Amino acid sequence: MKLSVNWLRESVALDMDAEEIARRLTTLGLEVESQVHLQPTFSGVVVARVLEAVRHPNADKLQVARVDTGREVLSIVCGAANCRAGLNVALALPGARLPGDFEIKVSKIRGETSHGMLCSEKELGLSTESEGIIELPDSMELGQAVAAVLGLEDWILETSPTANRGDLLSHLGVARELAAVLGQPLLRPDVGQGTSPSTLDIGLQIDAPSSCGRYIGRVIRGLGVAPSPLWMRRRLEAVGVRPINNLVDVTNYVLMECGQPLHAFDLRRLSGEKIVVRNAREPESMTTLDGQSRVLCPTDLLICDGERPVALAGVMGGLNTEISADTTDVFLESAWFEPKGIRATSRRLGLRSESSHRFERGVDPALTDWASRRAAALLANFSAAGTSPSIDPRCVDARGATPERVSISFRPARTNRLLGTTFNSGTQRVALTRLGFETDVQDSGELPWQVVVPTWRPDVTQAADLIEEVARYIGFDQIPTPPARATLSARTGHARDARLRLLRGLLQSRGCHQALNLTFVSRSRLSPFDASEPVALHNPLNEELSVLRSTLLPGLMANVAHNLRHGADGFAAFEVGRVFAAGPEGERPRESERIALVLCGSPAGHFSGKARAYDFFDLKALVDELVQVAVGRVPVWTSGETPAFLHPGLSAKVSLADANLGVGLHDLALGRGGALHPATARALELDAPVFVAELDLGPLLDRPASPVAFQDFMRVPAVRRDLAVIVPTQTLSADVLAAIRALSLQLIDDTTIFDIYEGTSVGPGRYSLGLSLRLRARDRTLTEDEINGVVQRVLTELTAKFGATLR
Amino acid sequence: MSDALAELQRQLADIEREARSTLHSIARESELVPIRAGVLGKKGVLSPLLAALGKLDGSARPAAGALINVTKLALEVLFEEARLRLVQQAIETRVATERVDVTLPGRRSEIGATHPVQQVMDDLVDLLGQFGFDLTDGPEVETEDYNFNLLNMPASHPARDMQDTFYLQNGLVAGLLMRTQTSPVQVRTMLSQKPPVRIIAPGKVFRCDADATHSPVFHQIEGLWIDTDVTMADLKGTLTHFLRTLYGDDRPVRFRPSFFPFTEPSVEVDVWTGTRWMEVLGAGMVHPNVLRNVGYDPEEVQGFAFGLGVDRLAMIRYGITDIRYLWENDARFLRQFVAGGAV
Repeated sequence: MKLSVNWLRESVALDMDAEEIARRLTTLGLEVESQVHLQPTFSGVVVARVLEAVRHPNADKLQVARVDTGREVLSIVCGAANCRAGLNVALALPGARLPGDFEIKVSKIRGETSHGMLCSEKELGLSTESEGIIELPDSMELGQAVAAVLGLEDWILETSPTANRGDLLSHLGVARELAAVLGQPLLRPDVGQGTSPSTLDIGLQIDAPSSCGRYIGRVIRGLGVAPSPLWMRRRLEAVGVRPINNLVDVTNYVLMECGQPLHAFDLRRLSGEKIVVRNAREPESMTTLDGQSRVLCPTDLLICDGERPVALAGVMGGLNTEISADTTDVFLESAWFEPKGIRATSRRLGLRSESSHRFERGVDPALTDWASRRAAALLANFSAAGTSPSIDPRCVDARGATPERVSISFRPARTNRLLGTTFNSGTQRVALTRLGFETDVQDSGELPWQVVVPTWRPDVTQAADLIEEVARYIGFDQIPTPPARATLSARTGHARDARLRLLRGLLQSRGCHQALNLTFVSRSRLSPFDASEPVALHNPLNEELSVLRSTLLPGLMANVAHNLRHGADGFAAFEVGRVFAAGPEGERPRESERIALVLCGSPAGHFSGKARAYDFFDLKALVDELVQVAVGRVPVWTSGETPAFLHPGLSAKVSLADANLGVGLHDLALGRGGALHPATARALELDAPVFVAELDLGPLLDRPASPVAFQDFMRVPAVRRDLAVIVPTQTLSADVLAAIRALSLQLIDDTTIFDIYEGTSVGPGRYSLGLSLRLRARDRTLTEDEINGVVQRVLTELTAKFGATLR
Repeated sequence: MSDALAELQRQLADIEREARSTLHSIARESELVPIRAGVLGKKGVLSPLLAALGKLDGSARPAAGALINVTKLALEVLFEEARLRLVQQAIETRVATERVDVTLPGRRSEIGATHPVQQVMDDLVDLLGQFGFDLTDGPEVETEDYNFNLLNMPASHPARDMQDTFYLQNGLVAGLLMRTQTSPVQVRTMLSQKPPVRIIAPGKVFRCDADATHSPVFHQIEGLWIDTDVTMADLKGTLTHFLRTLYGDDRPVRFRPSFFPFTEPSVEVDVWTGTRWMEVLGAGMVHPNVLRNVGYDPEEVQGFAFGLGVDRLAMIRYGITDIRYLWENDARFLRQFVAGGAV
């Protein structure tokens, strides 16, 4: 909310500049986001009175006025029709500067000397259009600077009151806070008091007493619609309210002044001499002031006349009873509505107004009558010239349920226990009292105080709230700041995080950047990777961000495309994040954590060798290393079971064999990896081959790898024997190695593949597999015969199992 | 001296001379092995002379043997000298000829970077971990209860407007939403364990108020400390130490009253940038209603909670000007964060 410092100063004596006021408010919990200095765009213009205005001897449309500045009487030539004797005017003296860098000089106009200029609003930059010269109130003292009397020099504080403090949405409310901490009285305009002699001839009926706590209606007759006085328009504009006309402006002015929303109905357009406050029926609709037709529901509260709804209570008035240019009689509503209902209606209709904003935060129920009297007086005061309005001394006033005054049991010792302070009870009592809380006087020992909450603070409901009030009043800077205390913790979460950091570090050391993608994707970006129905947002920002990702791959693919498009030779990255899959009926979506990686294009090359592109084995190495670091074992790659977005010949399911049972039925699926299917890559406009893998992170992180059980290694030197066997093309290398392992030959320490060759020399349908056997015995050097025997056993087995021949 | 001995002496002299000249002519250590074998080996030129010893008179034999041994020793010395010379020569040659332009690039691969948001997150987790806050997390899809109601934020409260919420389509389970804050982890933790509780919960949060400076997805880290004696002074002490470690020891830190439904009193904490106060985190004493909601007795236990936005912190720390960089994953952006940055 925008606050005018000039306005605040009318309600509390503030012996400080705007900067200090802003600081004080921030310290009190009303954050001041910005301070804007409003400065008049003119100088040298004073209040003066026209003593006499006579026709210019040489010009029909000009007058020569004798004008009293309070210090001297000057002769001024003026062309405005409304220049007349007795009028208070804005006089630009010689030397005055007006907007547009225009300097006033003594000049001769058709032979008559003019010692200045009588100004219009437009000439002073106060409005874009104006008719005639400014007419200032008679009460203004002559000789004063116009900029000062109109309050054109001001500071505007842009505040952001927290959602609990509806009372800070007005100038008087904020002034009350300042008055409390400064020990100053709060000055409120006097509106008179007393009960109305009798009731208006308008029936008032509250059918929804739980929603409407108080309703006061007043009638002002004989009004005339006109622009508001200049100062009021300037003030409203300064706090961000667009001036409309005197009647509407007064309700807005009182709203900004005290925080009580008001509504002015055109009395003649109310029918049936009756006001009914009731809930909407079904079906029912009404057109609000903004011209929108609103379909209502039974939780909406309405203000109705004898026939129809005339306002959506607390939210917006109806078009049918709007103030118009010919309005003369006004029915002025001031009411207290229950916050939750106003909020529900406002939210359901997406209709926010200054009024609903305040009602849903809780308006001070004690304001209803004050604001009604204040607005009625202002309406009568600022009616169009030539009218003589009358405020009907009678009113209608009915009550429903208003919140009861809250009384809270409060122990000053509790304050100190919560805050870690030593505020004595006297200090605490002063704090609460200054802030408007009533405390009972007995201050004897252990008994808690009963503290009664002021009507404007519906947010204060329990002792913790009072503790905050005490702290706020005394100042948070008065709470000590002891050294930070450390405690011991199990750090189980940190241990898991450390394992994840190890995996991230591994991938980074292999050249992969960590990517971060939004959790939301479009259906079309997700569907190539997962055809199942995704979890959708009810209120997405747009179609591009409408469903939850069920895989990390769409994001990484977009990152690859982005980087290639921007001239990168390749891109290697990984992402760690949550994915979501629709659960079975009646269950929440399944949420799991994944790690995905992508390799595309060329790794960094070197001048000494040929540049090469990432291939399947780069991906496999990364995945194997990742899993090995995580759980101490290398995963199993199984082809033939991969989804459609992967190249069927260049992809695999990745799983973890059971440590005890070996490869088989008990494999734990981790994910999948391989080359993107050429068709998928094409659809994503990725020209270079792309290799991707995505694994569940849970199995890799949730259990720490079992501690390593060291096995002594043999120190006898090993013998290496290479043999190349020719086997049918479909033979899997893993099966060949497994067959050799299955022989359980103790002398074979390890078998590795050193070569793969396909070509004419090995014949069609076959390939050569180069195997390197490492042989050794624990206790002796092997003899040539032993070595040959082992190699022969291997060869015989491979021939029997795979039809292998020695190359 | 017999003729035979003279003849032997002459032969040995020839062999030694021959060996000397051969060794003189070779350039590599590897050539030494066959030459040595040709002289000193089993089939070398000395072997027949040794074999011939048996044919000599018994009286001449010791002298002949001695002659051969002397020569053999001399030859071995010669060969060893030659070997040392050749090794030395080889080293000198290598050192004299091998040269590289040391300014040429190494055979390196690209180093992947930790995402800047992750770096800041890691630092915060480490720093808070040192105090004894244990790391924990919770689901990103939440219920109204955990995200709002149990945190003292009923739907009827205007505080709900502080956080525009993404709801899931009302298909299978009603009222599911993307968590708007990491605070539901507080509730989940307190519901599952007895006090004392001291945790941090980093993670993604979601709000549908995206614009040029906000992403609909961003990162928060939440802290919670509940015990019998944790006071607002502890809040100030802990967060002041935390922020000074993060921003610099001399930075003024300001605590000002604010409002969060789940804390009372609530504070916002600002750090002085040198020209203005910058809001960096929100905190407060956990609201008694929240404590009651999780079955704690607010007369028995009390404590504080805090939360801060990680993305903004990363942008400030690294001088990142546009939030889009954080989500674009452009290698030209990421590469700049390879060096990492501990606090």
